[in-house]
Amino acid sequence: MGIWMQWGLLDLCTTVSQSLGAYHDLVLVIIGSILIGVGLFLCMFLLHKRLYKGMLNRSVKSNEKLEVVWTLSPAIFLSILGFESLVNLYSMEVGDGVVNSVEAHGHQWYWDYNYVYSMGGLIEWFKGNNWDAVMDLVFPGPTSMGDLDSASFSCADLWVASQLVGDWAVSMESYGIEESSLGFDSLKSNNFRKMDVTSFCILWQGMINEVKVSTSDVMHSWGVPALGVKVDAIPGRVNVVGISPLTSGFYFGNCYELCGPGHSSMPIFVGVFNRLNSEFLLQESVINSCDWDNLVSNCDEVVIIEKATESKNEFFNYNESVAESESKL
Amino acid sequence: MDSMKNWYDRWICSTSHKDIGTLYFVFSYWAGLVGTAFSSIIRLELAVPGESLLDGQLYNLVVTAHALVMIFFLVMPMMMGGFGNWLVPLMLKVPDMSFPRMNNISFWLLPVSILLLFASAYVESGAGTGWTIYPPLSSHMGHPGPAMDYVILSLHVGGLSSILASINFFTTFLSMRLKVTSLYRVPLFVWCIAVTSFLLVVAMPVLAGALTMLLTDRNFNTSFFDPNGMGDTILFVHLFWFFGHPEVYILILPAFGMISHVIKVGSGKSYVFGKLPMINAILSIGILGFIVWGHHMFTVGMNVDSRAYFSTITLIIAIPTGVKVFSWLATMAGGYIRNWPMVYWATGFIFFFTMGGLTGVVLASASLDILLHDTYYVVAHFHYVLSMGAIFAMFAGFHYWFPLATGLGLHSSWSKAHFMLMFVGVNITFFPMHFLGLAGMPRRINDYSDVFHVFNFMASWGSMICLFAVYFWSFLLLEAMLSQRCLFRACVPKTEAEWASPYGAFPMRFHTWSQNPLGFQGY
Repeated sequence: MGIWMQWGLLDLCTTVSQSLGAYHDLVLVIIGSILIGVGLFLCMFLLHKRLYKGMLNRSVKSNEKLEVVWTLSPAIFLSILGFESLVNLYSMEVGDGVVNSVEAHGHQWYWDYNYVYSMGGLIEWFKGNNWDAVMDLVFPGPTSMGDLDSASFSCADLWVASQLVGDWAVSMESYGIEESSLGFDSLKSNNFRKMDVTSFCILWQGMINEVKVSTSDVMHSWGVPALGVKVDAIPGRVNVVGISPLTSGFYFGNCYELCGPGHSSMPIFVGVFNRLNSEFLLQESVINSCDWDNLVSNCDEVVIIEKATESKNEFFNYNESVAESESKL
Repeated sequence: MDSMKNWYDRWICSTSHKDIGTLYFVFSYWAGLVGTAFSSIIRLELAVPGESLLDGQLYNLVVTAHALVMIFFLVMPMMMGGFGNWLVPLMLKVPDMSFPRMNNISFWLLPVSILLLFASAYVESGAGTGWTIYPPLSSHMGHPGPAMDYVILSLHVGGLSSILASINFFTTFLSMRLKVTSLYRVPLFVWCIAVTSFLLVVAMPVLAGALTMLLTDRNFNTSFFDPNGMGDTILFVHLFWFFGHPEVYILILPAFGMISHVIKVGSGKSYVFGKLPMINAILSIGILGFIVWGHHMFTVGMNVDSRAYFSTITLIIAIPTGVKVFSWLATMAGGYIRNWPMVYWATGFIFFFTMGGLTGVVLASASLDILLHDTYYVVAHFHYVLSMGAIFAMFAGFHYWFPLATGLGLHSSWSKAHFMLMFVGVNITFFPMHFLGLAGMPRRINDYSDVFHVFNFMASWGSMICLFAVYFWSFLLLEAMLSQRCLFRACVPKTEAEWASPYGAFPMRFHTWSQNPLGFQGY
């Protein structure tokens, strides 16, 4: 998201895009100097009579040495620019070590984000760590994010998660919120007109994420300026871009390829969280959408839920005993 | 009835390069007013956040129409058909073009083309695809009505007009010259028209092919661009830009030629600095223009090595362009710069075209282009090279050669005021777009996030100044016709071939000479 009356590039939040910003600075210096030079010479020659008393040579028809100079010196500057530009270009390739893969599908006129989330990884991680250390790590101070309060990070969730171990396909449709839906609370809840969405794309901070962009109707383009990415969504084709955000936060983007009347109303909202919170959000998506009745009816309802809300340390022992009792069934 | 038949013979069945040139000027001037109107509508919509005047589809239609009208019905007809037809035979000292009747049909295809384009807006919901008409938005999935078919037919007819005119110019340039007129002696404007014609003849059929494939995809169940039928959407993008990039050089090369003449005469000189390097630069730009098209497609997912190649070759094309700009500056050096309106326009061209070209160098880099592709930075870039490149050059050429064609003079002080108005207007309109682009505002949107308000507001005010300048220009033309200030002596060096009117009388007569010139060489 830009800021009011912004002159330059946004704050860029990946190493790749920061080198793009640095390249832009270099290019701007060079072209600024060239433009000032051209302007200076123009002024000099327009004010010939005043500045030079009309004494510059009027009969210069050609000068080969000068031609060589003004052909070679742009060539040298362009070589420098070209080299720097190609270094940046090749560094933008995704490479190995992708930990999070998101598929962004463009539609007329919204995005949807698809993940394959392996449930169970978070459980394993918790089992291997002290619970309090976990809470300190995740919530180091007073929480400011209303949605991720400790009430939702409960033992019940972890228990449910343990029942759902496996690979889950998670899909969220991200619609741009229309102006009429912003409501009177918009000032309080920091809604941005034309930029707020119903769900966001989850990326992991500090690691290589891969966004695979495609569409099944017309051409769109998934672009987030602050992360320095833009990739066209073309039917019949999947384009991949690698993003390694340096900082957590929320980044805004737009659709960058004309796709019909709603082209200006399909914003992109990317939430970059540390690994733990990213996994937690996806886990919550799965849990919130799973069929509770079906799940609970397979187990002894009352006893399990009561026991799950007792002390946290008992949770890990309990889980194994449930597994043992289930295997006996 | 005789006078009607004479009128019909003279204006509908014309074979005179001067009359056809005049027809092109009248047509393209009117089309320029239409294009300006579209641009004013766009800026009115974008002046404040929120959807104010137009809904999404209508806005997209206006954006598409603005580009198509300005490119295909203002710049190309006025430069090639208007200035080209009037000046090329005069500069080459030949009686007319090689194919006078084909010249005529080249003109008359244009009203048909523009009629088809406007008709597209009145059927179903119109064509809101952008001038790049990418499928699937432009195929039956995105635009199921007949409007898109009208646009395709319009571009076919317009393309045919351009191809025929280009064949004419190229043949005239190659075979109709006097023996003494060696290639080196051919004036720079004719060189530019010749290379532009070559570009048109080679590139326009590619567009015609792509358009035909789109037409059959839409109507005859082919699947060139439909992945469901083993086609590829990117095929259209490649074909379009293989045409599209030479197209933008077609828009600017005649401007280069006109500026060379205007700078030369405006600096009181009889030669341009370094004519041979200038000719070589024109040729290089023409040839290189065919192999850089990928720089319009850096985000479609091309192979990284292809992107690296396109980036490099685009940077290289800056070198001959730089040679031309520096040569113009050197032409001005030491000259007696005349205080004529055409010099103002040409000076403005040199500075602002250079600026537009330099932002093009910024965009040429495949990596940085990821941040700037399809943002307002691109819009700023091409409006600097077009609105301040092509348009300023056309005004310069118009001020220079208007007395030749009409024998009348435009009011010089008011013309300078008009220049000031346009200068201020276009800069206020397009300079803030650089900032919008860097901040990430996308193109072709009818409503934007509130943070982009200030510069959009500024740009809209600038476009209102430009609109007023266009009204003022219409007044200037009318005033010149009414005031009848006759040209009695052209203060141009005798080396300017087009000004050699028999007895020094202007406007040029219907038949320039009663016999062809004699050429003397080897003395």
